[in-house]
Amino acid sequence: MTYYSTHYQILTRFLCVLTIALNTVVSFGMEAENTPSIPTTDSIRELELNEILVQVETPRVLSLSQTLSGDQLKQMNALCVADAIRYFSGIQIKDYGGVGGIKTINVRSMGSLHTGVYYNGVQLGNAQNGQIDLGKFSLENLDEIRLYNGQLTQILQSAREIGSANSVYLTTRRPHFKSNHKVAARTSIKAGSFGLANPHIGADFLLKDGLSLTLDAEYLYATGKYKFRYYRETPSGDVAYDTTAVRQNGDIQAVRAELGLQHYYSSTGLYKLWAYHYYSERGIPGAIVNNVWRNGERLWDRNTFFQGVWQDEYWNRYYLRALFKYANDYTHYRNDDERLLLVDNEYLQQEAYLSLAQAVNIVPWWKLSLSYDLQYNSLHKYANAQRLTHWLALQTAFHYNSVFYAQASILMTHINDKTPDSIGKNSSYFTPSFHFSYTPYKGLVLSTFYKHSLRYPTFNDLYYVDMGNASLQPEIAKQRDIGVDYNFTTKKPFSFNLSAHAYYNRIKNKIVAYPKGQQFRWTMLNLGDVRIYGLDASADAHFNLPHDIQLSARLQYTYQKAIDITSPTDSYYQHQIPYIPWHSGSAVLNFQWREYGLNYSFIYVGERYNQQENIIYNYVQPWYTHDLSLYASWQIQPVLLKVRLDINNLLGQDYEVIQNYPMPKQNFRCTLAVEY
Amino acid sequence: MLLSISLCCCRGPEIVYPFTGTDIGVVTTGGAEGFYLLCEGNMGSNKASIDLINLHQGEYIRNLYPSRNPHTVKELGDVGNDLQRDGDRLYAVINCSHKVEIMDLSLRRIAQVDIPNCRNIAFADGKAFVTSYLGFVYVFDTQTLTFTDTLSTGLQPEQIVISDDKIYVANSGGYNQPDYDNTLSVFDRHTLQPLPKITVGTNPQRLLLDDYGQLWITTLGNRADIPAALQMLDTQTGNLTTFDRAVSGFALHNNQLYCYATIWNEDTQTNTVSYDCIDVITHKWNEQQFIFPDEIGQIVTPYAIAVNDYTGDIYIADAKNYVSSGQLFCFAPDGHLLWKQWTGDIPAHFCFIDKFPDFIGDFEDKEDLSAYIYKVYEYCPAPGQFVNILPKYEDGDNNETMRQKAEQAIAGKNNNLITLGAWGGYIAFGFDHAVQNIAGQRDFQILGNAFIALDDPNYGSTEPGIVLVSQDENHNHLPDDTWYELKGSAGVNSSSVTITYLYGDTIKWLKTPDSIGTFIKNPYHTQPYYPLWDNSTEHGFTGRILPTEKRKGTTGITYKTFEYGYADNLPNTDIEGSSFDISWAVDNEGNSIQLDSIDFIRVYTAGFEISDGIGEMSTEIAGAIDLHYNQ
Repeated sequence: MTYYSTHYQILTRFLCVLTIALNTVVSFGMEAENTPSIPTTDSIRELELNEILVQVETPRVLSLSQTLSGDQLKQMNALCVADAIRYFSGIQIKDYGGVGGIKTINVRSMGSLHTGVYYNGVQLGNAQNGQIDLGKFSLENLDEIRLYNGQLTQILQSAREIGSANSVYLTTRRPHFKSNHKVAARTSIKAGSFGLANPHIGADFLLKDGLSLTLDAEYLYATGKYKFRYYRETPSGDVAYDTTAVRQNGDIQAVRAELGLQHYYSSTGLYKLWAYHYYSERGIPGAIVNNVWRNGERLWDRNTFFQGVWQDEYWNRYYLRALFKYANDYTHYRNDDERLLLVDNEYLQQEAYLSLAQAVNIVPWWKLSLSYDLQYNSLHKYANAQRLTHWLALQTAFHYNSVFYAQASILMTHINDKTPDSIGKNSSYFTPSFHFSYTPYKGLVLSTFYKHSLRYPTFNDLYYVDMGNASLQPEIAKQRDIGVDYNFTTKKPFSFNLSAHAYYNRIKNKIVAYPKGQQFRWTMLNLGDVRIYGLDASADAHFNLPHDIQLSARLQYTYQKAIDITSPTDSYYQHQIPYIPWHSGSAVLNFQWREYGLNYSFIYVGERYNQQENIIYNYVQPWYTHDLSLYASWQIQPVLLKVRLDINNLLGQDYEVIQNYPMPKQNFRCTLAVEY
Repeated sequence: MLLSISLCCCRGPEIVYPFTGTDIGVVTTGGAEGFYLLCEGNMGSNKASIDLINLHQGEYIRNLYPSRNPHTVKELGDVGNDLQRDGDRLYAVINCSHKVEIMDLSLRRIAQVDIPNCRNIAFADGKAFVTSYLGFVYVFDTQTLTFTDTLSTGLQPEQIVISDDKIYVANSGGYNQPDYDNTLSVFDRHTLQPLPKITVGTNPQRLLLDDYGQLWITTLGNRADIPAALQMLDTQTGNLTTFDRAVSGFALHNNQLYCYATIWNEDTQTNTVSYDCIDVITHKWNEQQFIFPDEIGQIVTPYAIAVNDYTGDIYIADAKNYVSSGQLFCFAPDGHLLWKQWTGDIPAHFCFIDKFPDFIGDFEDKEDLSAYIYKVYEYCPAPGQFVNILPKYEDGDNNETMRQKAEQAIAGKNNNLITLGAWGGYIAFGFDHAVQNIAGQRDFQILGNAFIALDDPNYGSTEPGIVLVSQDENHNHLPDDTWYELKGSAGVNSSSVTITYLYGDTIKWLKTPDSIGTFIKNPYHTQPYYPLWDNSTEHGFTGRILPTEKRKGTTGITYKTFEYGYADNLPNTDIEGSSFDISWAVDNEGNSIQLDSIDFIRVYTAGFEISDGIGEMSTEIAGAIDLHYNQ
C-alpha cells in the first residue's frame, strides 16, 4: 500500500472511484479499533491510514483544488468559514463587517450565486435569494474547507455537483478515538471583542465497530459593537473630518446543534445520517450615511436539515451512492426604524432532495457514470413559489498510466416552476464540461478545463413583488482554465506546492436590476455581459527544522480583470465590475515549536470600485490587514488543554469591504479549549 | 511579490471628494446664469450630490458639495429628494439622511434641520414646509430654524405647493401598495388649519400650480389595473379633469406643460418613453413630441425635466440604470440636441440661479481653522475706552456689521483684540462643531491680553470675564438656549445685579437698587465710549460682579489675578490658566451641571472698575481654541 501526503492535506491521493466529496464524507472516521496498531498520539496520521482503508486501487492524478484542513485550519485566526476561505486564491469575500455581518463568496468574479457550497457532500440551498452566508458556519466542527474551480476530477458525483460552476466543500470533523476509548469529547469557549462569547461542546461516541455517533453544539453571542472611524483630509493634508463612532445594531445570538451517525459496515460500504439545526437572531447594522449612525433592521434565521449518504461498491467495478436531504428554513425580517417603511416579512422555505449516482469501470482505463438528482423547493408565507428540478448527468473518464487523464460530462437540467399566478413553466438546459490533465512526472500536473454552467434565477429574481421577472433566463457561465500544479514532497525536512492557473470566464445573460417604468422602480433583466481574465497563483512550503521547530508559509496572489461589456453606450463599458480588485493576495506564516505556535497572516485587497463606473466618486482604497495568533497546548492527563489569542487588524486600519459598511479596527479573541 | 504589491499599492490619503469640471462647449446667453442639479444617489450609497451648471460660462461642475464643505462628515448624504431656493439660501431635502441641508447660494453649509423621511419642501411667509413620509408637513421658521407647526396629511405625502391662500399636499400612499392614497391634503395658508381633502387619482406624486389657478397632478396609478394619468384641478371651481395619458414629470414654460412619461411594457420588457406638451389654456396636446425622435433613443430613463425661462431650452435628466452616472441633455426649443453632460447618480432636481455668487476663489484649499472660533453670534459691549475702536466703528455700521467685524477680528487665527467694554459687556461665539467635555481635561482656551506684573506674580493686568456655555438644545444653531456659568476660583456666591448705562456725552451708570455714578473718560481715548451703532439712550446688563483687589506697584496699577476660571485673567502663554473645563458648569442655583459638549460660549466683563486713571476694567478677547479638536 503506497501513499504520500503533504503535511496538512489528507488528500484524496488515490483513485477516483470515490469523489472528493465522498472522500471527505467517507473518511470521516474509521475508528481506531479498526487499526489498533496506529499510534494514538498523531491523530492526523491515524486518519490518513484510516482513510487508506476506505480507499482503493490505482494512483490517480492530483486533485486540482485548494484546501485548508487539519492543523492548518486550526492554526488560522478564523472564527467562521468566511474568515478562513479568504486565504484561497481567486476569490473575494463580500463582508458587511462584524460577527453577525453577512459574508458571501465570489469565485473568480463570476458572482456569488455561481458557487455551490456543499456541507458534507450535499449542497446548501437557498432558493429564495441564493445567498449562502459563510459567516454562519463555524470552524469548530470542521476539518476541511476545499474549493474547486470548475469540475471535480472525479467520476462518481451527484448530478448537481456536476452543475456547479465552482464548489466549496465543508467537511465536518472526523471522529477519532484513542485506543480503548469509546468516547471523545471536547469543549471550548471563545471571548473577545464585539462582546463575543462563544461556548462550544462536542462529543463522539463509539457505539460498535465502525459505528459512531457525533454530537456538536455551540452558542454564539456578540453585541457586535465596535469602533470605526471615518477620516478625510483636504487636498493640502489638513483634517477635513475625523469621526469615530460605535457600530450599532450588529448584535447576534446564534445556536448551532448537530447530530451525526456514521456507520462503516464493510470495507467498502457506509452510510451517514446528519441532522443540523441553526437558529440566529441578529441586527443588520446597515449602511452608515450622513446623519444616520444606526439602523433598525432585524433578522431571524432558522435552518434545519436532515441529510444522509449511503454508498457501496460491488464486484470491484460498480459503485453506487445515494444522497437525500430535507431542509426547512425560516427567515423573518423586520425593519423597526419608525422613520421608514415598517416591514415585517416571514419566509418559509422547504427543500427535498434525492440523488442517485452510479459509476462503473468498464475497463481499468475507462469509466462511465450516470447520476440523477431530483429536488423540490418551495417558498411560503410572504411569497409563494414552488420549483421542481431534475438533473441528469452522464460522465466519462479515461486515464493512461497516470500520465494522461481526460474527463467529459454532459448535464441536462429540467426546471418546473409554479406560482399561484402561473400554472407552471418548464425549461431544459444542456451544459457540457471537459477536463484534461497531463502528468509528465509525479508531482507535476498540467491541466485545462472548459466548463459550461448555469445560474438559475432565484425565487426573488423571478417573483419578488413588483420587481421579479418571471420570464428570466438563467445566467450562462463559460469557464476556460489552464494551469500547472507542482507538488514536491519528501519525508523530511521540507515540502512545497506551487500552483498557477490562468483563466477566461464569460458570463452572459447576467441577471441585473434595471429601471422600469415610472419613478423609482426596478425589474430584473438578463442584461449583463461580463468578461473575466484572471490569474491565480499560490505557493506553500513547509519546513521541519531541528529542535522540533516547524515553519510553514502560504502565499497566494490573484489578478483579475473583470470587465462589463454589456453595451458600448454604457458609461461603464469595459470598466472593472464593482468590488473586484485587480490585485489581491495573502500571506500566512506559521511558526511552531512543540506545543507552542505563532501564526501571522496578511491579506491584501487592492483598489477597486463600488459601482460599475470606474470613476473617482466610486473609488475604494485598497485595504490590508495584519493578524496575529499565539497558541499553546498542554497535555494534562487525561485531557488536552489549549489556549489561544488572536489579534486581528493589528495596525487598526480603517477600511470598508462594502461601501458604507465600516469594518472593525483592532480586535481580539481568546480561546480556551479542553479535549478529552 | 506580495511585498512589492503592498509597497506600490498602499492606501493613499483619504481626500474629500473633489469636484470635476468640464467644458460644455456651448454658451447660453441671457436668462439665469445657470442652475444647480441635485442628484439623488442610490439608497444606501450616500451619494447625493449637487452639480453646478453655469450656462453663461458653458461650464459643468460635478459634485461640488464636498469641496465646498469639507468638514461635513459623510458629505451631503443619502438620497437627495428635493432642492429649492428661498431668498439667498438653498434647501436640499436629503431623504435617507433625514435632514434638510441649508446652504448659501455658493453651496456653503449654513445649517441642518433634522426631519425624518423628508421628501419635498416649499416656502411661504418666512416658513419652510417639508413633507415627511410619516404623514406630516413639518413647518419651521427659516430664520430661527425652529419648528412652528406640524400638519397632519394623508399617507406618504410627496410634493407640496403653496398658492396665495392654500397649501396643497399630494398623498401618495407609497408605502401601502396596493392600497395607495388618492387625496390631496389642503390647508389654509394663513391659519394652517386643515380644509377638506380633495379626492384625485390613485397615487398622486407631483404637483404644479400654473398662473391660472390650475393645479396639475401626476398620478401613478396602482401599477395594476389603474393606469397612470395626468390630472388638473381647478382650484377656483374645484373641478378635476383627467387626461388619460401617463405623465412621470413635467415643467411649465410659456403656458406649455412639458411632460415626459416612461411606461413599462411587460411584453417587450422595455420602457416606452414619450415627450408631449399640453397647452394649459386650451388643454390640447401638441401633436408633436418636443424632442426630435432620432434623439430620443439616447435617453434611457428620463427622471426630471426643466425648461429655461428665458431661452426655452429643455433640460432632460437621464438616470440611466440608477447606479451609474446620469446624463443631462439640453434640447433647443425646436427639439434638437444642443449638448449633453455626465452628471452624478440619478440627476433629479433642478434649481435655477439668476446669478451665482463669485466663489471660484474659494475652491483653493484652505487651512483647517476648525479648532478656532468659527462664528460670533452676539457682540454687545458696555461703554469703554476701546469701544468703537476695537473693532472700529464706521458710519452706517449696525449691530450686524459690528458683529461681523468682531467675527473678522477673532475668528480663525486672526487673533485681533476686541473689547467688551466695562462690566456687563458681552460676546457670544462658537466653533464649527461642538466642543467635547473630556473628563479631567481643560476643554477650550480663550485668548485675551492679560499679563503678569513683573514685581508680583499674583497681580497683573487682569480684566477677568465670566465665561458661560450652552448647548444648542433646540438645534436652531443660535445661542438662545440655557446658559451655564463656568464656576471659576472665586465661586458663584455673589448674587446677580443689573447695571444700566445711560448714554450721552457723559455716561452715567445706574446700579440697582441704589447707586449711581459717572463714567470717567481718560485723556488717551476721546471718542464716545458707548457703542455708536446702538441708537438707544441706555443699555442695561445683568450678571455677577467679581471682587477686585487693586494694588499700585512699580509697574503702575495692577489687580490680583484669579487662580483659574476667567477670560483675560491670566496670560495666553499660561495655557492651563487661560483654559476652561466644561465640567465647571453650574446652573443659576450653583448646582453642578454635566454637559457632554457645548455649542456656544459667552463672555462678559465681570470686574466693575470704571473710575481710575487707566480706564475702566474691560475684558478683551483675541480668539479661542478648542483644545480637543484633532487630538
